[in-house]
Amino acid sequence: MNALNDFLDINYSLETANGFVLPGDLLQGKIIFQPKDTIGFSEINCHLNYVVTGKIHSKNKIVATQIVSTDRVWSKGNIYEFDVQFKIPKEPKSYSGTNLEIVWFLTIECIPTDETISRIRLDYLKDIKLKMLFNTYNGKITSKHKIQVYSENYIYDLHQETKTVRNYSTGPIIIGLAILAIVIACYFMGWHGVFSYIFGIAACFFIGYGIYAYSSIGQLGNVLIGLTPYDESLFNLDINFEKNTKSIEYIQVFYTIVEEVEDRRGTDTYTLTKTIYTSEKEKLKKPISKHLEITLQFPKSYFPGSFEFATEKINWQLHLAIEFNNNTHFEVKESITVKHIVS
Amino acid sequence: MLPEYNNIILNRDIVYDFNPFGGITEEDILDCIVPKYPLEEWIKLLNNDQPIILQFVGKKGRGKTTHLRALHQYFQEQDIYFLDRIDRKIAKKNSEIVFIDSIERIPAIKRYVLWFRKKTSYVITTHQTKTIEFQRSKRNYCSFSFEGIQISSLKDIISSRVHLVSNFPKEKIEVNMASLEKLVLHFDDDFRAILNYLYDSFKKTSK
Repeated sequence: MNALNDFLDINYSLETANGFVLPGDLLQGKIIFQPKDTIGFSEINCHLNYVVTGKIHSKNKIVATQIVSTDRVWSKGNIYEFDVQFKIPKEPKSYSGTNLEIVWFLTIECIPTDETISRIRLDYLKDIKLKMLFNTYNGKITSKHKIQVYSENYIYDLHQETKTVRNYSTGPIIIGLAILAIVIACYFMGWHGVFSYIFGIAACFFIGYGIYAYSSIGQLGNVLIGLTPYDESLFNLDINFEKNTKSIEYIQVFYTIVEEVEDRRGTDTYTLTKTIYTSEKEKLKKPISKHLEITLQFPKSYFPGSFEFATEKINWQLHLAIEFNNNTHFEVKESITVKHIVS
Repeated sequence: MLPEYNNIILNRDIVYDFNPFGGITEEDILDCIVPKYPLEEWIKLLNNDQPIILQFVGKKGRGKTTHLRALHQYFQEQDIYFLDRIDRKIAKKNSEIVFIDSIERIPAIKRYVLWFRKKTSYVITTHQTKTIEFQRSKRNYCSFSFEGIQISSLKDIISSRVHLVSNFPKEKIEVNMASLEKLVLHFDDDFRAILNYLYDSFKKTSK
């Protein structure tokens, strides 16, 4: 035995349906301990926790804790059983994706008494190098048991909301003109450095982009998007354009579910993304009305709901791809919130 | 041709809770790390009455941040900062030891302000050595370089991670050393690139 964990066998007997625990349900069962030596504990806790583990980071979230026992001395060879009971939250559910996983656990954490620690250290661990002690002997016995939080009987639950997509197409023109004015002023004051050319080009870029934006999406004004659930499998999308829609050749509406994992380590910051679902695309040609109603279908199979924890995210994203008469193209992306209801 | 995960870990009877090669939680980091330098030595230096700066120098992906996080586990009441493009602030507190990841995110002048807090010890990670700054600030410092890789360390890291997510006995984990050599030949000493590759390869294999 070279680690404290080796001194105690921990087994789990949990009441689950084919290994699954339903979200929002009660998880009940027994934890069975079998010490391999006489061990005194000051406290034994059982945590219900989940780990969001991504390609980059992992974070542990303890949802609930039950004190199993305090101030007990367990004898070698005996078996000790304790009941545990936890209410499982509705979200998040277990998930295994490409760049991130959500894994639920029951975690047992036993804190031995000082007397036990010093005795074990003296009797068993004296020959182990200090490095090993640091690695394996943090003074606690821990054991994790994975549980699957999932239900096959679910319906998608869309959060009813209204979003305004503000149109900032004139912004770049104003910025560009301001930069250009400064560059011209500097030029006449005798500043002819290489940076004047760089800033001049940047100003032209801003103005050009602004004109491009204004000639297409700028014609629409602000766009108001309303989301309402229709039934278990469908939801409605209301799109209201502030100005006129004459400049639109066609609109394509769809949504995607994307895993996003942000890596901010070191000098580079980047986001790993993986689209795990793309809905069918609804196409509307030359819309006349400023008010459009579109019905979209929820995925036919299970996909995780909207979720965000630290730098890991599952993002349901609505796409409004607009093609204009002048062959310019704009795509509006807006996050929407979708969860599950267990039916 | 890089080896697939199945050719790296040869056991077929391991039940994994999740992908072993992703990020590691604070709680698990000490179980996974294979220290490049003895942590006890650093702990002694930091517990000394004389304040000191420990700098971990190396290119990205060499394990500097992992060692910083692991060392912080022994000083959990002390502040740790992971600086990035968004968050670059160090709070003005009276911590005895401050842990800072990616110190180069702070402008030089603000770094000097930190070094001039003579009663504070620092543990920092950096791509390029800040020795001149320490000398000018008349600070005690120790520098630790993070470069190079040993196949045996890589084997230990992989075994520890597999054990952590499976509870499969570490000593029974069979690692194909020839495959590890191929990985090192391809990725050199870039641990992060190796772990990223293993993450993707594990995912592919487990599907």
